[in-house]
Amino acid sequence: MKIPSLKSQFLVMSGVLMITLAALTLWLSGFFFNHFSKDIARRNLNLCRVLAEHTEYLLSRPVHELSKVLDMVNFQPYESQYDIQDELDDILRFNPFFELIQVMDLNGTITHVAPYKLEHIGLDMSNHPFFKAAVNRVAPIWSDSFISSQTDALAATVSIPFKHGVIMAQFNLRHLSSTLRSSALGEGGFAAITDTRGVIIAHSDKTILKKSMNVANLVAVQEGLDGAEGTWDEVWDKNPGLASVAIIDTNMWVVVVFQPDSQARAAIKQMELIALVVLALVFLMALMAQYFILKKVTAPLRKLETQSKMVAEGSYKEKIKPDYRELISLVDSFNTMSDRIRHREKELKESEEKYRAIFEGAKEGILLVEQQGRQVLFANQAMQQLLGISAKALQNSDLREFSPGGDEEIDKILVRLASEKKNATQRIPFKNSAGSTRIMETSAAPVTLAGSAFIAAFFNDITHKLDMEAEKENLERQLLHTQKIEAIGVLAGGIAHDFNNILYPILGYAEMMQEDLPEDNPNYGKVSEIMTAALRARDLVSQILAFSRQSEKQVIPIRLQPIIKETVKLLRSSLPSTITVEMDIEEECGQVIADPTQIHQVIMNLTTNAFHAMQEKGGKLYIELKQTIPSSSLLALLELKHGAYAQLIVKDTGAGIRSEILDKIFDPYFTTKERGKGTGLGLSVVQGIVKNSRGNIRVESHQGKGTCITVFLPIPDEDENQTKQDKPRIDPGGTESILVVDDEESVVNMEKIMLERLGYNVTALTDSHDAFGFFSAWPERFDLIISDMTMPTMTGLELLKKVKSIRPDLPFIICTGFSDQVNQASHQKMNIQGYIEKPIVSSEMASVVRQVLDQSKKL
Amino acid sequence: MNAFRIAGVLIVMGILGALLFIYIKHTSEPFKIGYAGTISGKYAAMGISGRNGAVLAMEEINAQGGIKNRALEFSVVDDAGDPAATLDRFKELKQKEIRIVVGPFTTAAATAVLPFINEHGILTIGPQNAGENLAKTDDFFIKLFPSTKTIGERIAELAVSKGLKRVAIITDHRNKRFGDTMIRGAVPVFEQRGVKVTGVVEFYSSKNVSHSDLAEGAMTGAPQGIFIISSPIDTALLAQNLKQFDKDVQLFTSPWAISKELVENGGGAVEGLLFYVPFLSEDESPSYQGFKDRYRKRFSDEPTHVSIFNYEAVNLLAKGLEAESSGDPAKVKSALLGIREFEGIQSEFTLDENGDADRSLYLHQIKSGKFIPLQAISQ
Repeated sequence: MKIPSLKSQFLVMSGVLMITLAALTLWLSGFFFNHFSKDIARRNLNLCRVLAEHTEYLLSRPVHELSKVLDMVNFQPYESQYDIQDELDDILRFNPFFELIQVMDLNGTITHVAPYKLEHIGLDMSNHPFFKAAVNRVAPIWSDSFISSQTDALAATVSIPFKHGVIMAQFNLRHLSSTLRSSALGEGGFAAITDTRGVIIAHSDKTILKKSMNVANLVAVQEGLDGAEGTWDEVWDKNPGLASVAIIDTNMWVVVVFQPDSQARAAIKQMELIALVVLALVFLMALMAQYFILKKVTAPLRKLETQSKMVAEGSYKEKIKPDYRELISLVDSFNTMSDRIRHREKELKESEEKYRAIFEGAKEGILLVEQQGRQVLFANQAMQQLLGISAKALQNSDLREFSPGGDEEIDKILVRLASEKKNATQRIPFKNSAGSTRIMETSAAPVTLAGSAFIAAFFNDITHKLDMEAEKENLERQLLHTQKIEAIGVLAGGIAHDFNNILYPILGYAEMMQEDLPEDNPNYGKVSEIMTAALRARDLVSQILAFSRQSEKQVIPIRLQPIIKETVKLLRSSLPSTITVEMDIEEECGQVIADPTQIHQVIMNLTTNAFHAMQEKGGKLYIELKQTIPSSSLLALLELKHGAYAQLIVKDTGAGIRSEILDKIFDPYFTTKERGKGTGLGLSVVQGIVKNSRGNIRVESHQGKGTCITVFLPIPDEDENQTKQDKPRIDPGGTESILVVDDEESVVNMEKIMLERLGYNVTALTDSHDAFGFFSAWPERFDLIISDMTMPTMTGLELLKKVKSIRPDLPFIICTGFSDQVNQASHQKMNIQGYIEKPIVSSEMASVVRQVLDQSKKL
Repeated sequence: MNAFRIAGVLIVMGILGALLFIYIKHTSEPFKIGYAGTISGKYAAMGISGRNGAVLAMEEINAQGGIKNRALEFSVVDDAGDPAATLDRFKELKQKEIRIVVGPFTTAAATAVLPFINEHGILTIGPQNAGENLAKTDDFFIKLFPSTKTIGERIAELAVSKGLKRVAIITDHRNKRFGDTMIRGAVPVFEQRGVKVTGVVEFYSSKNVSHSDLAEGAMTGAPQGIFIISSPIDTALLAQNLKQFDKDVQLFTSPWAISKELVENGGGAVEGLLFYVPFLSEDESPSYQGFKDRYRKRFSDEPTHVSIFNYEAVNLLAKGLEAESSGDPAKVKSALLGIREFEGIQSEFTLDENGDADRSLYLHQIKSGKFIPLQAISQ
């Protein structure tokens, strides 16, 4: 609804008042106008009637005069013709208005005429209207006006019938006008008499009379001719005025009195003018009064309005002072309101700042969207950063543009989340300005602002968290795997220890038997087989240990051929029949410097990958080893030094690797395999091992055709190789006293025999505690102690510690099936002079013992 | 730039407004026409009936919206039948810058003003001026009434046809030109046809004139027929006196006498009187009957042939002003001569190159106090 303006209301009310005043004035003016007009009309009509009566009197005079003649002519036969003529002449003489008097007989023939003219006597007037009209009548008959042939002036006749004829008197109408001239009607006004045709026969203005005008066209005259008396509005000579008419009863002539408005209504007009001027002045004064009142009334309101605007703009300094007593309450209320608004605004501002701080400071992205969950209304800083879009660009944007979509549009998700009562969340992918996809954990809640429903949506970027979780999962899986390997290692260690202890006597006794038997003895070959089998068993244990990484890295010159063959042999048992294996191993390929265990792992990983690539559809696994000197370009490509290399090729006919991920295959944890089939570390480990061995890897893959991985490992020069192989020659035997301690009786017995066969004086004990007792009784009796590591009463290391406390110079050899406390690399740091891994052949034993004894002697 | 443009537009609008104002003012101003008639004096009866015919035409034209939305406004002057007075009235009209006039009433008056109107280019349309001297000249006088000479010839031929051998002529010198040209038309015919003109009695109409003496003078040569050229009353009184001398004498008269006063004052003496007028009484045509009704209604009186001629004169002028609204007399005259053919109340008539009307003459006789047409004779 439109609110009316005070000003317009005031103006409308004033306008209504003024219009009422004007209407009243005009009505009064009209009332007086009519009233005075009627008065004037009445006055003029009265004048008209007076003139009519006077004219009637004038017209009665000729009739009266003629009545004297009537008596004479009625008695004509007896009256003297001369007397009649004399009488007519007298009437004419004493009544100047008579121009002509004729006495006619009943045939219309003139019998008497005055003034006398002989030739007129006897003229036939029977066709004349006055005769025709009068001859059979009693009362006098008046003619209309005509131009007198006697005077050339307007004249009329009155015809009076008598017994023997008609007396006709023609009289001029001049004297009628003189009567009219006496009526004072002012300028433009006149009085006139017309005959029954409307011809002016008398007029207060001579000039008009001369025109012989017919004014039957005037309404008032027409009314008069029709027998009505009264006053009408009329226009004469272009001047409007009042025309009154009265009838002369004698002959129905019409008396007209015309007075122009300028005269008749001059006073009224003047009064009207004064009224209009007064009205105009009142209007003007009313307008001025309105202006000033309005100004006075609206000034304090404008002040209030100005102050309101200032308050609206946040300025509260000014206080309004009331201009009028009536406004004190209003002004006080306004000032109070202003104070309250200021206070409330301050609170609101603080509150707003607080909530804005929370809103903008939140780590979560927060969006306020409209009810349909599409149009963004507000976004906090975090949300802007999450999407990489400014608040301005984000505002009013469609949220669906940022969500790559899925089964359910984001707007529907938000609406659903907002409608769910429980604190539901959903992970929604978002595309940020950089084009990368971020996963947002989203929740939403319905909010109402200013009576309208909106949705507040909260976004937590969990992309990193998910990555971390994935990584953690991988690590956990890897850890599990490692732990498994470790467990296997531990198990393998334990098994290896016992197995070596079992194997050791077999190998030792078999060797001794072989030595004892001549080569042509039929048992010699059998013993040799036992030895071979024992050695293979020892290698197998060693490989198991290596696989389980229970053995330390051991960089030594190694031949790849047996390792490849062994690995393939291990793998083949697990390959399905759809995969065939083809090997091309060059036996002449030289040794490489590497940890055999690691090389084993390299081959294992590569072949396992190939197997996985062909697992589904089958294929062919091709393994090749040869010695080669790569071209310069290839060396440059692979960043390798010039020289000979062992080239190991592992090729499959599997699915191949997609070109786009070819660069990533060496990345840690990169895998294309299903969970449980790979850790993503295989090729990474391979690359690490190969590069540590100063080699490199080349990968060629064609999708759908297969993958070929070529490993280049440098083959050292012969000298270097030779140097590594040069070992000090060891006297295989001796005579020194050796204390052998091992809890396995078979082992200690075999060792005792083995060492005695080498010439040594051996004391063998199975209990370490007893052994130390024995030693401590005769510390100087022994030149060497060979002890097992793991023993029930006292470990090898404890024994060592005690022995060394008595005799620090006594060389000490640890001979163990497996130990995680001491190994080939660390034994010397532990003040152990020799380290022997069971099982060991006699020659190796002789070599180590001799070497230790000799070195102790050197010291 | 903008202010200049606005000022320019305002100036142009102001000029256009002023021109429009002038145009409207000009086009709304009435055509001021002079009317000269005999409203007073001896011939006023006929003069007033003529003036009334003109006034009726003017009122009807104005009631229909005027001529191109401009009213006709008459400035009426009374020539009183006096040529000298007529010239004065024309001068007064000229001073009022009125340059088109309908009138004057008589040939004498028209003759008096002819040099003046030609000199000052005042277009004058004479409704009932029969004088021969006014015809056959390319001047500013439009003559609507047939020539008196012709009427004289027709009267003479009529007398011959009646077998008359001796005729007398009585003529009023107040309208000498009228009478003279009529006599000049009649006398040669009489002479050619062996009719003796026993006498031409001239008089100057006044209240002292003796109609008896005039009759006596006319009857001196014992004429069988008398051609009276005078006003209606004079003709009536002369007829009564002539009949007293010889009740069988055949009377002829001119159109001048044809009005009700002739019958009213002529008594039985005017019965059988013969005359030619370019007007057909007892005409039953709707146009005439309509005119008659309108005239009666307006003036409570009967129209005369002079009323008709004046009525037609104003309507003819209206045609000219409609064709040439500038009101320039020469142009209006050219326009009228260009229109040439006009519709009269009783018949069509044409204007020749000199502005003289070619109209029919109708032979009438007074029978039982009425003008009865006997035959129509084309001029």
